[in-house]
Amino acid sequence: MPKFLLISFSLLLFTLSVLPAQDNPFFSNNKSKEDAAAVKQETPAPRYPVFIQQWLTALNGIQRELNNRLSSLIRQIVEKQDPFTLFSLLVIAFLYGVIHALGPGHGKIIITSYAISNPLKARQGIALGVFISVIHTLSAIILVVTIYFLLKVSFIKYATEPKQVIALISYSLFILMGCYLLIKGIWAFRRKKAACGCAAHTEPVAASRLKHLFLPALAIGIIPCDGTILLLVFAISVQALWIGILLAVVMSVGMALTISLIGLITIGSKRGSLKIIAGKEGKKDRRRLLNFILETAGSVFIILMGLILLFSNLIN
Amino acid sequence: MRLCLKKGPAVIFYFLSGCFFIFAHPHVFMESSLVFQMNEAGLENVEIRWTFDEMFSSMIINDYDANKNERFEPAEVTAIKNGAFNNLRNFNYFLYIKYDNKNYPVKSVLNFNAEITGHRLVYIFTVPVTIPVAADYKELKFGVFDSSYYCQIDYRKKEPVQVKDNPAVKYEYALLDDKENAYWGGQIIPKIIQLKFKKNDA
Repeated sequence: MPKFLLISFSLLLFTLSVLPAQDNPFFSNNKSKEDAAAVKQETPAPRYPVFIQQWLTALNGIQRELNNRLSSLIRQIVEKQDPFTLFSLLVIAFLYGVIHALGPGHGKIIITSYAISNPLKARQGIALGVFISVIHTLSAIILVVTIYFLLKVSFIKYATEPKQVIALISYSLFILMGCYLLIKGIWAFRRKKAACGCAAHTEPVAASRLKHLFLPALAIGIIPCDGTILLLVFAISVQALWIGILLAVVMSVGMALTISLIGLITIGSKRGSLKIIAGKEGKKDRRRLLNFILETAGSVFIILMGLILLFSNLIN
Repeated sequence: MRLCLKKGPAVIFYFLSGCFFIFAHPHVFMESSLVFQMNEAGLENVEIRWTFDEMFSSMIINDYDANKNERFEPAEVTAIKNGAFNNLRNFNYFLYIKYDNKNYPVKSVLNFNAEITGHRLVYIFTVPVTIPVAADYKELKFGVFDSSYYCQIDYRKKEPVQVKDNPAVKYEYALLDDKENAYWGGQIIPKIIQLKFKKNDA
Protein backbone atom coordinates (compact mmCIF):
# COMPACT_ATOMS: atom_id res chain seq x y z
CA MET A 1 0.00 0.00 0.00
CA PRO A 2 2.76 2.58 0.80
CA LYS A 3 4.25 2.09 -2.72
CA PHE A 4 0.87 2.59 -4.29
CA LEU A 5 0.48 5.80 -2.31
CA LEU A 6 3.92 6.95 -3.45
CA ILE A 7 3.03 6.35 -7.09
CA SER A 8 -0.33 8.08 -6.66
CA PHE A 9 1.36 11.06 -5.05
CA SER A 10 3.93 11.28 -7.84
CA LEU A 11 1.22 11.13 -10.49
CA LEU A 12 -0.73 13.84 -8.65
CA LEU A 13 2.38 16.02 -8.44
CA PHE A 14 2.93 15.42 -12.13
CA THR A 15 -0.61 16.52 -12.90
CA LEU A 16 -0.37 19.62 -10.73
CA SER A 17 2.77 20.72 -12.53
CA VAL A 18 0.76 21.34 -15.66
CA LEU A 19 0.17 24.93 -16.59
CA PRO A 20 -1.44 25.73 -19.92
CA ALA A 21 -0.16 28.25 -22.48
CA GLN A 22 -1.87 31.64 -22.48
CA ASP A 23 -3.32 33.83 -25.22
CA ASN A 24 -1.91 37.32 -25.82
CA PRO A 25 -3.75 39.46 -23.22
CA PHE A 26 -3.44 42.60 -25.34
CA PHE A 27 -5.77 41.27 -27.99
CA SER A 28 -7.28 37.91 -26.94
CA ASN A 29 -11.06 37.56 -26.90
CA ASN A 30 -11.37 36.63 -23.24
CA LYS A 31 -14.70 37.53 -21.67
CA SER A 32 -14.57 40.25 -19.09
CA LYS A 33 -13.26 38.83 -15.85
CA GLU A 34 -12.56 42.03 -13.98
CA ASP A 35 -12.33 40.36 -10.66
CA ALA A 36 -10.01 37.66 -11.95
CA ALA A 37 -6.83 39.55 -11.19
CA ALA A 38 -8.00 40.57 -7.72
CA VAL A 39 -9.25 37.07 -6.90
CA LYS A 40 -6.03 35.47 -8.10
CA GLN A 41 -4.03 37.73 -5.85
CA GLU A 42 -6.17 36.84 -2.84
CA THR A 43 -5.54 33.12 -3.34
CA PRO A 44 -2.31 32.12 -1.63
CA ALA A 45 0.16 30.67 -4.12
CA PRO A 46 1.96 27.38 -3.51
CA ARG A 47 5.44 27.97 -2.16
CA TYR A 48 8.40 26.90 -4.24
CA PRO A 49 11.80 26.94 -2.52
CA VAL A 50 13.37 30.38 -2.75
CA PHE A 51 16.38 29.12 -4.71
CA ILE A 52 14.05 27.80 -7.45
CA GLN A 53 12.18 31.13 -7.62
CA GLN A 54 15.50 33.00 -7.85
CA TRP A 55 16.79 30.62 -10.50
CA LEU A 56 13.62 31.02 -12.57
CA THR A 57 13.86 34.82 -12.30
CA ALA A 58 17.46 34.59 -13.55
CA LEU A 59 16.38 32.27 -16.39
CA ASN A 60 13.72 34.74 -17.47
CA GLY A 61 16.33 37.49 -17.41
CA ILE A 62 18.40 35.37 -19.82
CA GLN A 63 15.38 34.99 -22.12
CA ARG A 64 14.85 38.74 -22.12
CA GLU A 65 18.49 39.33 -23.04
CA LEU A 66 18.36 36.67 -25.78
CA ASN A 67 15.21 38.30 -27.14
CA ASN A 68 16.94 41.72 -27.21
CA ARG A 69 20.11 40.30 -28.79
CA LEU A 70 18.10 38.50 -31.48
CA SER A 71 16.33 41.66 -32.57
CA SER A 72 19.45 43.85 -32.54
CA LEU A 73 21.52 41.25 -34.44
CA ILE A 74 18.78 40.88 -37.07
CA ARG A 75 18.93 44.64 -37.65
CA GLN A 76 22.72 44.45 -37.79
CA ILE A 77 22.78 41.69 -40.38
CA VAL A 78 20.35 43.58 -42.61
CA GLU A 79 22.75 46.56 -42.59
CA LYS A 80 26.00 44.61 -42.75
CA GLN A 81 26.06 40.98 -43.87
CA ASP A 82 29.05 39.45 -42.14
CA PRO A 83 29.63 35.78 -41.22
CA PHE A 84 30.36 36.47 -37.54
CA THR A 85 27.05 38.23 -37.00
CA LEU A 86 25.22 35.44 -38.81
CA PHE A 87 26.95 32.79 -36.70
CA SER A 88 26.08 34.69 -33.49
CA LEU A 89 22.47 34.93 -34.66
CA LEU A 90 22.24 31.19 -35.31
CA VAL A 91 23.69 30.32 -31.91
CA ILE A 92 21.35 32.69 -30.09
CA ALA A 93 18.32 31.44 -32.07
CA PHE A 94 19.21 27.86 -31.11
CA LEU A 95 19.57 28.75 -27.41
CA TYR A 96 16.35 30.75 -27.52
CA GLY A 97 14.57 27.70 -28.96
CA VAL A 98 15.97 25.43 -26.22
CA ILE A 99 14.84 27.76 -23.41
CA HIS A 100 11.60 28.77 -25.11
CA ALA A 101 10.40 25.16 -25.31
CA LEU A 102 10.82 24.78 -21.57
CA GLY A 103 7.81 27.05 -21.13
CA PRO A 104 4.16 26.07 -21.33
CA GLY A 105 2.41 25.39 -24.60
CA HIS A 106 4.86 23.25 -26.54
CA GLY A 107 3.14 19.93 -26.06
CA LYS A 108 5.37 18.71 -23.27
CA ILE A 109 2.56 17.43 -21.06
CA ILE A 110 0.96 15.61 -24.00
CA ILE A 111 4.26 14.07 -25.16
CA THR A 112 4.86 12.95 -21.58
CA SER A 113 1.38 11.42 -21.32
CA TYR A 114 1.78 9.83 -24.76
CA ALA A 115 5.13 8.32 -23.75
CA ILE A 116 3.51 6.92 -20.59
CA SER A 117 0.51 5.52 -22.47
CA ASN A 118 2.62 3.94 -25.26
CA PRO A 119 5.60 1.58 -25.15
CA LEU A 120 7.99 3.93 -26.98
CA LYS A 121 11.65 3.29 -27.68
CA ALA A 122 14.25 6.02 -27.27
CA ARG A 123 14.51 6.76 -31.01
CA GLN A 124 10.73 7.13 -31.18
CA GLY A 125 10.83 9.62 -28.30
CA ILE A 126 13.41 11.66 -30.21
CA ALA A 127 11.46 11.36 -33.45
CA LEU A 128 8.26 12.54 -31.76
CA GLY A 129 10.06 15.60 -30.33
CA VAL A 130 11.49 16.44 -33.76
CA PHE A 131 8.12 15.99 -35.54
CA ILE A 132 6.33 18.22 -32.97
CA SER A 133 8.93 20.95 -33.27
CA VAL A 134 8.94 20.90 -37.07
CA ILE A 135 5.14 21.08 -37.32
CA HIS A 136 4.97 23.78 -34.60
CA THR A 137 7.43 25.98 -36.52
CA LEU A 138 5.99 25.23 -39.97
CA SER A 139 2.52 26.14 -38.69
CA ALA A 140 3.81 29.57 -37.55
CA ILE A 141 5.64 30.18 -40.86
CA ILE A 142 2.56 29.27 -42.92
CA LEU A 143 0.29 31.51 -40.80
CA VAL A 144 2.59 34.55 -40.98
CA VAL A 145 3.38 34.19 -44.71
CA THR A 146 -0.31 33.67 -45.55
CA ILE A 147 -1.44 36.75 -43.63
CA TYR A 148 1.34 39.10 -44.69
CA PHE A 149 1.98 38.06 -48.28
CA LEU A 150 -1.06 36.20 -49.57
CA LEU A 151 -3.91 37.98 -47.78
CA LYS A 152 -1.97 41.22 -47.06
CA VAL A 153 -4.14 42.08 -44.07
CA SER A 154 -3.62 43.16 -40.46
CA PHE A 155 -1.87 40.35 -38.60
CA ILE A 156 -3.38 41.13 -35.20
CA LYS A 157 -6.90 41.39 -36.57
CA TYR A 158 -6.81 38.31 -38.79
CA ALA A 159 -4.45 35.92 -37.03
CA THR A 160 -6.33 35.60 -33.75
CA GLU A 161 -9.33 33.74 -35.12
CA PRO A 162 -7.41 31.19 -37.26
CA LYS A 163 -5.18 30.48 -34.26
CA GLN A 164 -8.21 29.85 -32.09
CA VAL A 165 -9.75 27.54 -34.71
CA ILE A 166 -6.45 25.64 -35.04
CA ALA A 167 -6.29 25.33 -31.25
CA LEU A 168 -9.81 23.85 -31.13
CA ILE A 169 -8.84 21.33 -33.84
CA SER A 170 -5.72 20.43 -31.87
CA TYR A 171 -7.62 19.89 -28.60
CA SER A 172 -10.22 17.76 -30.42
CA LEU A 173 -7.38 15.64 -31.83
CA PHE A 174 -6.03 15.19 -28.27
CA ILE A 175 -9.39 13.76 -27.22
CA LEU A 176 -9.59 11.43 -30.23
CA MET A 177 -5.98 10.32 -29.76
CA GLY A 178 -6.54 9.65 -26.06
CA CYS A 179 -9.71 7.64 -26.77
CA TYR A 180 -7.90 5.60 -29.43
CA LEU A 181 -4.99 4.81 -27.07
CA LEU A 182 -7.38 3.90 -24.24
CA ILE A 183 -9.49 1.56 -26.36
CA LYS A 184 -6.40 0.00 -27.96
CA GLY A 185 -4.84 -0.67 -24.55
CA ILE A 186 -7.98 -2.10 -22.95
CA TRP A 187 -8.71 -4.25 -26.03
CA ALA A 188 -5.21 -5.76 -26.03
CA PHE A 189 -5.35 -6.37 -22.27
CA ARG A 190 -8.73 -8.11 -22.42
CA ARG A 191 -7.84 -10.17 -25.51
CA LYS A 192 -4.71 -11.61 -23.92
CA LYS A 193 -6.44 -12.13 -20.61
CA ALA A 194 -9.30 -14.00 -22.33
CA ALA A 195 -6.78 -16.21 -24.15
CA CYS A 196 -5.17 -17.57 -21.00
CA GLY A 197 -7.39 -16.26 -18.23
CA CYS A 198 -4.65 -14.42 -16.37
CA ALA A 199 -3.07 -11.00 -16.30
CA ALA A 200 0.40 -12.57 -16.32
CA HIS A 201 0.33 -13.18 -20.04
CA THR A 202 -0.75 -9.72 -21.02
CA GLU A 203 1.95 -8.48 -23.36
CA PRO A 204 2.51 -4.77 -23.77
CA VAL A 205 1.21 -3.37 -27.06
CA ALA A 206 3.94 -3.30 -29.70
CA ALA A 207 5.88 -0.06 -29.87
CA SER A 208 4.54 2.47 -32.40
CA ARG A 209 6.29 2.74 -35.74
CA LEU A 210 7.76 6.10 -36.72
CA LYS A 211 4.97 6.82 -39.19
CA HIS A 212 2.37 6.33 -36.41
CA LEU A 213 3.96 9.21 -34.54
CA PHE A 214 3.01 11.74 -37.19
CA LEU A 215 -0.61 12.07 -36.05
CA PRO A 216 0.12 12.75 -32.37
CA ALA A 217 2.86 15.16 -33.49
CA LEU A 218 0.32 16.95 -35.69
CA ALA A 219 -2.22 17.12 -32.85
CA ILE A 220 0.38 18.63 -30.53
CA GLY A 221 2.38 20.79 -32.90
CA ILE A 222 -0.30 22.26 -35.15
CA ILE A 223 -0.88 25.31 -32.93
CA PRO A 224 1.56 27.97 -34.24
CA CYS A 225 4.36 28.94 -31.87
CA ASP A 226 3.92 32.54 -30.63
CA GLY A 227 7.65 32.96 -30.15
CA THR A 228 8.28 32.00 -33.78
CA ILE A 229 5.47 34.28 -34.95
CA LEU A 230 6.97 37.29 -33.17
CA LEU A 231 10.40 36.53 -34.63
CA LEU A 232 9.01 36.27 -38.18
CA VAL A 233 6.89 39.41 -37.88
CA PHE A 234 9.95 41.31 -36.71
CA ALA A 235 12.05 39.93 -39.57
CA ILE A 236 9.39 41.05 -42.07
CA SER A 237 9.34 44.53 -40.52
CA VAL A 238 13.07 44.94 -41.26
CA GLN A 239 12.76 43.39 -44.75
CA ALA A 240 14.55 40.19 -43.71
CA LEU A 241 11.94 37.44 -44.15
CA TRP A 242 14.44 34.79 -45.29
CA ILE A 243 16.68 35.43 -42.31
CA GLY A 244 13.58 35.15 -40.14
CA ILE A 245 12.70 31.77 -41.68
CA LEU A 246 16.29 30.54 -41.26
CA LEU A 247 16.27 31.58 -37.60
CA ALA A 248 12.85 29.96 -37.10
CA VAL A 249 14.29 26.69 -38.43
CA VAL A 250 17.29 26.94 -36.09
CA MET A 251 14.95 27.79 -33.21
CA SER A 252 12.95 24.66 -34.00
CA VAL A 253 16.16 22.58 -33.71
CA GLY A 254 16.61 24.00 -30.21
CA MET A 255 12.97 23.28 -29.36
CA ALA A 256 13.29 19.73 -30.77
CA LEU A 257 16.23 19.13 -28.44
CA THR A 258 14.24 20.17 -25.39
CA ILE A 259 11.02 18.37 -26.32
CA SER A 260 12.88 15.14 -27.31
CA LEU A 261 14.84 15.24 -24.06
CA ILE A 262 11.59 15.47 -22.12
CA GLY A 263 10.21 12.52 -24.08
CA LEU A 264 13.39 10.52 -23.35
CA ILE A 265 13.25 11.37 -19.64
CA THR A 266 9.64 10.19 -19.51
CA ILE A 267 10.44 6.94 -21.32
CA GLY A 268 13.36 6.34 -18.97
CA SER A 269 11.30 7.28 -15.90
CA LYS A 270 8.55 4.86 -16.82
CA ARG A 271 10.97 1.97 -17.43
CA GLY A 272 12.94 2.76 -14.29
CA SER A 273 9.81 2.91 -12.14
CA LEU A 274 8.50 -0.39 -13.53
CA LYS A 275 11.86 -2.07 -12.86
CA ILE A 276 11.96 -0.75 -9.33
CA ILE A 277 8.40 -1.75 -8.49
CA ALA A 278 8.49 -5.19 -10.09
CA GLY A 279 12.20 -5.97 -9.85
CA LYS A 280 14.49 -6.69 -12.83
CA GLU A 281 13.53 -10.25 -13.70
CA GLY A 282 10.87 -11.33 -11.26
CA LYS A 283 7.22 -10.33 -10.73
CA LYS A 284 6.51 -9.99 -14.45
CA ASP A 285 2.76 -10.23 -13.85
CA ARG A 286 2.90 -7.27 -11.47
CA ARG A 287 5.06 -5.34 -13.94
CA ARG A 288 2.66 -5.95 -16.81
CA LEU A 289 -0.35 -5.04 -14.73
CA LEU A 290 1.34 -1.83 -13.57
CA ASN A 291 2.31 -1.10 -17.16
CA PHE A 292 -1.35 -1.44 -18.19
CA ILE A 293 -2.43 0.86 -15.33
CA LEU A 294 0.16 3.49 -16.30
CA GLU A 295 -0.76 3.37 -19.98
CA THR A 296 -4.46 3.63 -19.18
CA ALA A 297 -3.81 6.57 -16.83
CA GLY A 298 -1.75 8.28 -19.57
CA SER A 299 -4.56 7.88 -22.12
CA VAL A 300 -7.20 9.13 -19.67
CA PHE A 301 -5.01 12.13 -18.87
CA ILE A 302 -4.69 13.03 -22.55
CA ILE A 303 -8.49 12.86 -22.90
CA LEU A 304 -9.02 15.02 -19.80
CA MET A 305 -6.45 17.61 -20.93
CA GLY A 306 -8.11 17.76 -24.34
CA LEU A 307 -11.58 18.19 -22.80
CA ILE A 308 -10.46 20.90 -20.36
CA LEU A 309 -8.60 22.87 -23.05
CA LEU A 310 -11.42 22.46 -25.60
CA PHE A 311 -14.22 23.56 -23.29
CA SER A 312 -12.32 26.41 -21.66
CA ASN A 313 -11.51 27.79 -25.13
CA LEU A 314 -15.09 27.35 -26.32
CA ILE A 315 -16.37 29.20 -23.25
CA ASN A 316 -13.89 32.05 -23.87
CA MET B 1 7.95 -0.21 5.49
CA ARG B 2 11.55 -1.32 4.69
CA LEU B 3 10.62 -1.70 1.05
CA CYS B 4 9.08 1.75 1.13
CA LEU B 5 12.28 3.29 2.51
CA LYS B 6 14.44 1.57 -0.12
CA LYS B 7 12.29 1.84 -3.22
CA GLY B 8 10.00 4.73 -2.37
CA PRO B 9 12.53 7.54 -2.85
CA ALA B 10 13.80 5.90 -6.04
CA VAL B 11 10.26 5.67 -7.44
CA ILE B 12 9.60 9.31 -6.58
CA PHE B 13 12.90 10.30 -8.21
CA TYR B 14 12.08 8.44 -11.40
CA PHE B 15 8.63 9.96 -11.61
CA LEU B 16 9.77 13.43 -10.67
CA SER B 17 12.49 13.27 -13.30
CA GLY B 18 9.59 12.97 -15.70
CA CYS B 19 7.60 15.55 -13.76
CA PHE B 20 9.72 18.45 -14.90
CA PHE B 21 8.90 21.89 -13.60
CA ILE B 22 7.08 24.03 -16.09
CA PHE B 23 9.57 26.84 -16.35
CA ALA B 24 7.72 30.08 -16.81
CA HIS B 25 8.43 31.79 -20.09
CA PRO B 26 6.86 34.94 -21.44
CA HIS B 27 6.54 36.00 -25.06
CA VAL B 28 6.51 39.77 -24.52
CA PHE B 29 9.09 41.69 -22.46
CA MET B 30 8.25 45.10 -20.99
CA GLU B 31 9.89 47.75 -18.82
CA SER B 32 7.67 49.74 -16.52
CA SER B 33 8.17 53.06 -14.73
CA LEU B 34 5.75 54.85 -12.42
CA VAL B 35 5.12 58.43 -11.32
CA PHE B 36 2.98 58.93 -8.21
CA GLN B 37 1.23 62.29 -8.32
CA MET B 38 0.51 63.87 -4.95
CA ASN B 39 -1.59 66.95 -4.22
CA GLU B 40 -2.49 68.67 -0.93
CA ALA B 41 -5.33 66.17 -0.38
CA GLY B 42 -3.17 63.08 -0.80
CA LEU B 43 -2.44 60.70 -3.68
CA GLU B 44 -4.15 61.80 -6.87
CA ASN B 45 -3.13 59.31 -9.56
CA VAL B 46 -0.28 57.18 -10.92
CA GLU B 47 1.20 57.68 -14.37
CA ILE B 48 2.52 54.47 -15.91
CA ARG B 49 4.94 54.09 -18.79
CA TRP B 50 5.56 50.75 -20.52
CA THR B 51 8.37 50.18 -23.03
CA PHE B 52 8.08 46.97 -25.06
CA ASP B 53 10.67 44.69 -26.67
CA GLU B 54 11.42 45.22 -30.37
CA MET B 55 9.65 42.08 -31.59
CA PHE B 56 6.27 42.87 -30.04
CA SER B 57 6.77 46.53 -30.92
CA SER B 58 7.23 45.69 -34.60
CA MET B 59 3.96 43.71 -34.60
CA ILE B 60 1.98 46.70 -33.29
CA ILE B 61 3.85 49.29 -35.38
CA ASN B 62 3.39 47.21 -38.57
CA ASP B 63 -0.35 46.99 -38.02
CA TYR B 64 -1.15 50.43 -36.63
CA ASP B 65 1.33 52.88 -38.16
CA ALA B 66 -0.87 53.12 -41.26
CA ASN B 67 1.08 55.91 -42.97
CA LYS B 68 4.47 54.36 -42.02
CA ASN B 69 5.88 57.65 -40.73
CA GLU B 70 7.28 56.00 -37.56
CA ARG B 71 5.00 57.89 -35.23
CA PHE B 72 1.39 57.44 -34.18
CA GLU B 73 -1.19 60.02 -35.18
CA PRO B 74 -4.21 60.54 -32.85
CA ALA B 75 -6.41 58.26 -34.98
CA GLU B 76 -3.73 55.56 -34.86
CA VAL B 77 -3.45 55.91 -31.07
CA THR B 78 -7.22 55.44 -30.78
CA ALA B 79 -7.00 52.32 -32.95
CA ILE B 80 -4.21 50.93 -30.76
CA LYS B 81 -6.19 51.67 -27.60
CA ASN B 82 -9.20 49.79 -28.98
CA GLY B 83 -7.32 46.94 -30.62
CA ALA B 84 -4.26 46.38 -28.44
CA PHE B 85 -4.89 47.85 -24.99
CA ASN B 86 -8.51 47.88 -23.84
CA ASN B 87 -8.61 44.08 -23.42
CA LEU B 88 -6.18 44.53 -20.51
CA ARG B 89 -9.15 45.57 -18.38
CA ASN B 90 -9.74 41.80 -18.09
CA PHE B 91 -6.31 41.58 -16.46
CA ASN B 92 -6.73 44.66 -14.23
CA TYR B 93 -4.21 46.35 -16.59
CA PHE B 94 -1.53 44.13 -14.98
CA LEU B 95 -1.87 46.26 -11.83
CA TYR B 96 -1.90 45.04 -8.29
CA ILE B 97 -3.02 47.79 -5.93
CA LYS B 98 -3.69 47.29 -2.25
CA TYR B 99 -4.50 50.07 0.19
CA ASP B 100 -5.03 49.50 3.88
CA ASN B 101 -4.93 45.75 3.17
CA LYS B 102 -7.84 45.99 0.75
CA ASN B 103 -7.72 45.53 -3.04
CA TYR B 104 -8.11 48.71 -5.05
CA PRO B 105 -9.69 47.69 -8.37
CA VAL B 106 -8.90 49.63 -11.55
CA LYS B 107 -12.14 50.38 -13.38
CA SER B 108 -10.66 52.53 -16.11
CA VAL B 109 -7.53 54.42 -17.15
CA LEU B 110 -7.04 57.98 -18.46
CA ASN B 111 -4.89 59.80 -20.98
CA PHE B 112 -3.77 56.74 -22.95
CA ASN B 113 -1.05 57.46 -25.47
CA ALA B 114 1.25 55.35 -27.65
CA GLU B 115 4.65 56.41 -28.98
CA ILE B 116 7.58 54.94 -30.90
CA THR B 117 10.98 55.53 -29.28
CA GLY B 118 14.08 53.94 -30.79
CA HIS B 119 12.11 51.23 -32.68
CA ARG B 120 10.24 50.40 -29.46
CA LEU B 121 6.57 50.80 -28.68
CA VAL B 122 5.77 52.84 -25.57
CA TYR B 123 2.39 52.97 -23.82
CA ILE B 124 1.68 55.83 -21.38
CA PHE B 125 -1.50 56.05 -19.33
CA THR B 126 -2.77 57.34 -16.00
CA VAL B 127 -4.52 55.29 -13.34
CA PRO B 128 -6.83 57.26 -11.01
CA VAL B 129 -5.85 56.21 -7.49
CA THR B 130 -7.38 58.77 -5.17
CA ILE B 131 -6.37 58.25 -1.55
CA PRO B 132 -6.77 61.03 1.02
CA VAL B 133 -3.84 61.81 3.27
CA ALA B 134 -4.22 61.09 7.01
CA ALA B 135 -2.44 62.10 10.21
CA ASP B 136 -0.71 58.72 10.44
CA TYR B 137 1.17 56.82 7.75
CA LYS B 138 -1.05 54.86 5.41
CA GLU B 139 0.45 52.12 3.26
CA LEU B 140 -0.17 51.60 -0.44
CA LYS B 141 1.18 48.53 -2.23
CA PHE B 142 1.47 48.98 -5.97
CA GLY B 143 2.70 46.26 -8.32
CA VAL B 144 2.86 45.81 -12.10
CA PHE B 145 2.95 42.18 -13.25
CA ASP B 146 1.11 39.85 -15.59
CA SER B 147 -0.05 36.89 -13.52
CA SER B 148 -0.91 35.01 -16.77
CA TYR B 149 2.82 35.41 -17.52
CA TYR B 150 2.41 36.04 -21.22
CA CYS B 151 4.37 39.24 -20.49
CA GLN B 152 7.46 39.66 -18.34
CA ILE B 153 7.31 43.14 -16.78
CA ASP B 154 10.47 44.52 -15.16
CA TYR B 155 10.94 47.93 -13.60
CA ARG B 156 13.13 50.36 -15.50
CA LYS B 157 16.67 50.28 -14.11
CA LYS B 158 17.07 54.06 -13.92
CA GLU B 159 14.51 55.81 -11.70
CA PRO B 160 11.76 53.18 -11.85
CA VAL B 161 9.68 55.18 -9.37
CA GLN B 162 9.22 58.92 -9.07
CA VAL B 163 6.98 60.88 -6.75
CA LYS B 164 5.71 64.31 -7.80
CA ASP B 165 5.38 65.49 -4.28
CA ASN B 166 3.49 68.19 -2.50
CA PRO B 167 4.66 70.09 0.62
CA ALA B 168 1.47 69.04 2.44
CA VAL B 169 2.40 65.34 2.20
CA LYS B 170 5.28 63.44 3.77
CA TYR B 171 6.12 60.13 2.11
CA GLU B 172 8.61 57.29 1.84
CA TYR B 173 8.74 54.35 -0.56
CA ALA B 174 10.64 51.14 -1.21
CA LEU B 175 10.80 48.51 -3.98
CA LEU B 176 10.32 45.09 -2.38
CA ASP B 177 9.96 41.40 -3.29
CA ASP B 178 6.35 40.41 -2.64
CA LYS B 179 6.64 36.72 -1.73
CA GLU B 180 2.98 36.58 -0.65
CA ASN B 181 1.89 37.22 -4.25
CA ALA B 182 4.16 34.76 -6.06
CA TYR B 183 2.35 33.83 -9.28
CA TRP B 184 2.45 31.32 -12.12
CA GLY B 185 2.13 28.39 -9.79
CA GLY B 186 4.18 30.17 -7.12
CA GLN B 187 7.26 30.28 -9.35
CA ILE B 188 7.70 34.02 -9.91
CA ILE B 189 8.04 36.59 -7.13
CA PRO B 190 6.86 40.04 -8.23
CA LYS B 191 8.42 43.30 -7.08
CA ILE B 192 6.03 45.87 -5.66
CA ILE B 193 6.29 49.47 -4.52
CA GLN B 194 5.43 50.06 -0.90
CA LEU B 195 4.45 53.74 -0.58
CA LYS B 196 3.72 55.22 2.84
CA PHE B 197 2.42 58.77 3.16
CA LYS B 198 0.84 61.07 5.76
CA LYS B 199 0.07 64.70 6.46
CA ASN B 200 3.19 66.79 6.77
CA ASP B 201 3.08 68.35 10.23
CA ALA B 202 6.18 70.46 9.66
